Amino acid sequence: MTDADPHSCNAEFANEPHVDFAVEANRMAMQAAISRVGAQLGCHCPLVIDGESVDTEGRLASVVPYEFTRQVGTTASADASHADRAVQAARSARADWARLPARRRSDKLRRLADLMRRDFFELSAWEVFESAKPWREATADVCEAIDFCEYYAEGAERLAACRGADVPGEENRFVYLPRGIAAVIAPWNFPLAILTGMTAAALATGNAVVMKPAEQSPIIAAKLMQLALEAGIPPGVLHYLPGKGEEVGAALVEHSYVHLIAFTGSREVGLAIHARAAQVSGKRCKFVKRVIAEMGGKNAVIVDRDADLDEAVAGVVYSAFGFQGQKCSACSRVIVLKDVYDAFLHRLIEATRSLPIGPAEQPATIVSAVIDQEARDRILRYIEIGRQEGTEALAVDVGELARSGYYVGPHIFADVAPDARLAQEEIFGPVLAVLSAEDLDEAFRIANGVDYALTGGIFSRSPAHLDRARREMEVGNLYLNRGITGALVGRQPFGGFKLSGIGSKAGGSDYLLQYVIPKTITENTMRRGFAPPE
Amino acid sequence: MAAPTAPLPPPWESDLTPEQLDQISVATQDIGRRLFDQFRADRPRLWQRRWWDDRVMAWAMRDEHLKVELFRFVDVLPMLKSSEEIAGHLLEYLDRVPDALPWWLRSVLGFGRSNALTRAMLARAATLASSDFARRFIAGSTTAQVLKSARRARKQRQTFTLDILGEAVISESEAEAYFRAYVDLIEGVAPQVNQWPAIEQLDQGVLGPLPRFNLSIKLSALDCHFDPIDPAGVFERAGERFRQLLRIAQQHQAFINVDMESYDKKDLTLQIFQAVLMEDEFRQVADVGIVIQCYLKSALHDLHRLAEWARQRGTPVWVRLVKGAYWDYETVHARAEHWPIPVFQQKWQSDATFERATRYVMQHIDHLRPALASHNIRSLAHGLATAQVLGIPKNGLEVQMLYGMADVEKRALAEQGYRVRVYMPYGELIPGMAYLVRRLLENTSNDSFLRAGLYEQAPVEVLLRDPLASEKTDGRRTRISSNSPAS
Ligand SMILES: Cc1cc2nc3c(=O)[nH]c(=O)nc-3n(C[C@H](O)[C@H](O)[C@H](O)COP(=O)(O)OP(=O)(O)OC[C@H]3O[C@@H](n4cnc5c(N)ncnc54)[C@H](O)[C@@H]3O)c2cc1C
Repeated sequence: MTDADPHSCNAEFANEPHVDFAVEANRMAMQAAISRVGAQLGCHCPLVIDGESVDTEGRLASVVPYEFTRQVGTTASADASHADRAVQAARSARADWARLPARRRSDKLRRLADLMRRDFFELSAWEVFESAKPWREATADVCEAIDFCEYYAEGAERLAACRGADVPGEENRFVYLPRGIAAVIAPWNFPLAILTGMTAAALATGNAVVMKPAEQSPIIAAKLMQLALEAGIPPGVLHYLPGKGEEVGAALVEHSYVHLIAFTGSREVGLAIHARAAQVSGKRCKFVKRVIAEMGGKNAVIVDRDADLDEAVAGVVYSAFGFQGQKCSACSRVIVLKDVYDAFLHRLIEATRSLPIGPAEQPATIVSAVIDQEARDRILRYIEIGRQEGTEALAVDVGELARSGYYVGPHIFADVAPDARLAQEEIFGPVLAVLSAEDLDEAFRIANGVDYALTGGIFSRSPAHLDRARREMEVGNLYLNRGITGALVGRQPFGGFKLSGIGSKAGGSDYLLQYVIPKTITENTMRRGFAPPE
Repeated sequence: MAAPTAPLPPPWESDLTPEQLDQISVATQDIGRRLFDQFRADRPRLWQRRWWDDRVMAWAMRDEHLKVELFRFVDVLPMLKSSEEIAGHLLEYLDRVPDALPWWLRSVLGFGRSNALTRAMLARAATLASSDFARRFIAGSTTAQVLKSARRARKQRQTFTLDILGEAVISESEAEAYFRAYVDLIEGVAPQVNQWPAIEQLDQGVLGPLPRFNLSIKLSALDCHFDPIDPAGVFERAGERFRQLLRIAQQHQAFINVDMESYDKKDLTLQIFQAVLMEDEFRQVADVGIVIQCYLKSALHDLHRLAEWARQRGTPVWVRLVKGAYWDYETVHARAEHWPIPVFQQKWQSDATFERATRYVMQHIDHLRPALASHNIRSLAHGLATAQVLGIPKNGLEVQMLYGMADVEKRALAEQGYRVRVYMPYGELIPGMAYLVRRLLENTSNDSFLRAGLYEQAPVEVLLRDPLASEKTDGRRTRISSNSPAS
């Protein structure tokens, strides 16, 4: 590594190419994997602590969201005692792992990436079943997981490159040490990518990790655990603890030997973790717990009066309804300049009405079921609220599908006021609020007038307006003239601020700094007036 | 996930014999020179609008950055309502390339910033200039207007194919509307056109009369999810509408050509075309055509399969050979996705493939009917020479060109007795922008024959050079013009 600057953007990072489904061989591979994995549904996955399978009496069931009578499988359900066992095992293993040269750790992560490539379509198929991710979304998630392994592997090597600022007679070294033990608490919406990303970042920098996957997607996480062991990650430094957030999650957050909590999920839980970690810091544990939290969004797209409506409609439809609107980056508000409001709304409604809805395993599907009953109930409540707050411009009826899966049809509410709940609260489902703005000033005011600052975008062909958006839109990821989802590792480092998160950027060049503690070492090399040559 | 690369072409049947190839190469030079002599005398004059268009284009081409800003302006223009907005955009775009502007324009723009009257004038000038360009490439905004253009073409012994310009189809109602527009066009216009007097040179093929009414369609306009991820579903929807169009076309003696779009839609388009036309009901239909894009690395492979299919079918189809209209998009898109780039990266490779494909089609003339769609004299001369050497009569093939492009060439070829078919897009300006911008790009591309041949007057030897010679003399990206500006 010649380039020792952790802040330099490594623009040359090559992302794992997405699958080109115009190629017949890729379609056949995906179809075959779906059949193979379909035949394996119903498996059981115990906990993995220190490389050993541990079963429990309590079990978690993971069901196929679009066909809830079918089980993806079951897992054991960890409690506080398992959390403690895992952390104790990590304590004894972490020193050896931390002492390895960064290169050796990174090579294991690259090996993990290769194994994901080997099992690429199987992993994608598990996501289709477990998360109701349509083909393109599922395969993109696996690509992103591969990217995270390789990107952080490279980043950690860069961090490890020694930095010095020597003067004659004095040697200065600046090194990064691992923080220790990381609890990784992951969401279900990018069930492989985000879990892998947080885990790989922690491992690459020399930490030991206890993974707590989301309750809705524990099986795909078990696949990751298997592959990590196969890749040669030592059993003591990675543990798999599916279970209930309130039990095992809470136990990990409070544990006296957990130094770092990497969390992606809801604002409510994120803030609670933050508060709890602060409370126990300095009492139960003799250090300040570090919390990395990425939370929700209420992301807006502005449609300027000179926008290319073909592009704007397609971009908004996909950003709002792709994967049922269950991405933190999803568009849930579209703010339209009044001159194009009617034309835009009309095409938006027609395009949304035409979205294919169905089981995620069918290749044409763009909208499938939402993740679980609780999610469906919450979204339906917001739809009720929307009916009071705005004009229900489109309500797609999912008909019979709702009997067997957690389906919610895409909904569009027009003429929503900026302070309406529909325009303020994160819904995390296929519900889009359309707001009208007199001019660009008002559009920016509306866009920024929420608690969140994650993603946002504008469709405009005025260079001056685009410049204003660059300056004025308060978001972590701003997209000009394109959809606002689908950030790529390295290319679009991802994360927000305000109540969307602590401002860190997953897949960015400074992400790893949160997982390490910098240490400065100064040595006086002068002895009785003589110093080694420079 | 790396996409597997496209399969290699099958073991390739032999090309023509070396003697025939020699004859073709001699005849190509002959025909090419004759065409050049004919139309270099026919250059636009100062008082003709085209002369001014050509000046403006030449000016825009001097600087790649200026070109991008101008095209962006042209692209957004139809959406702008007030002259304030128009002038505002123009200033914003040109502000980004101050060094590319002549001093006088800079000072006009300077005035425009502070003076409302200047802004109004700027807006007016820009609108006029752009709608002038639009009118050059778009044959009308209504059916009545395009019919006028069609009539005018026939007076000049040229025929036509119509293309309806539309917005991207992103909903089922838009797909339905597009389909209806095609139906209405055939039902409303074909009967009229069929009443027009026949012109032997245009309407008589080797096998008998050809439909006078000719429509180019896009299959992706028939389905709002024309997505290769689900070929079966697309076939069900778009295939059914294609069938209905074929039925209506037959009732009205209309010809239907299926255009080719971006690479990701190519296999699906070929598949639907072939599957439907193989069905009993349509197996006898000969008044249909498809497009092969010779900038695609897969072109010869696809052509080979098409010939095999047509042989089995037993009824020939027309094949419009083109180089391809989406070169920039395909290159940029594949790079961004880290996918293999489906189009050739050297201009001569597309040219050489066009020639190889031309010979292939003419060798399989019983199954594939050649339509040479190009403005490149070398590409056309090679095709006409091949036809000569293989004994294919003039009415056994056709030359196709775009409306508003290479009019001198059209006239020259029509005078020589060839059937020249003009591709006439028509419709509203907003949906027409994508088409217009593609034409502007094409006319001003560094690698364009028209740019070298018409605007920059490169020497005839260079323009008529065998593309394979570029491979031998120059492995790098070759430029056909000798005096094109550095970019
Ligand atoms: C009647 C008609 C119908 C058409 N229908 C279609 C259609 O259905 N689908 C479609 O895609 N196109 C279609 N075209 C458009 C056509 O593709 C372009 O007009 C054509 O490519 C221009 O080629 P040319 O031979 O006239 O000019 P030339 O100047 O000889 O060739 C220019 C072409 O070469 C190719 N090229 C440019 N640079 C490079 C490079 N660096 N490496 C490799 N190749 C390069 C590009 O295709 C470019 O358009 C049609 C054209 C006509 C005339």
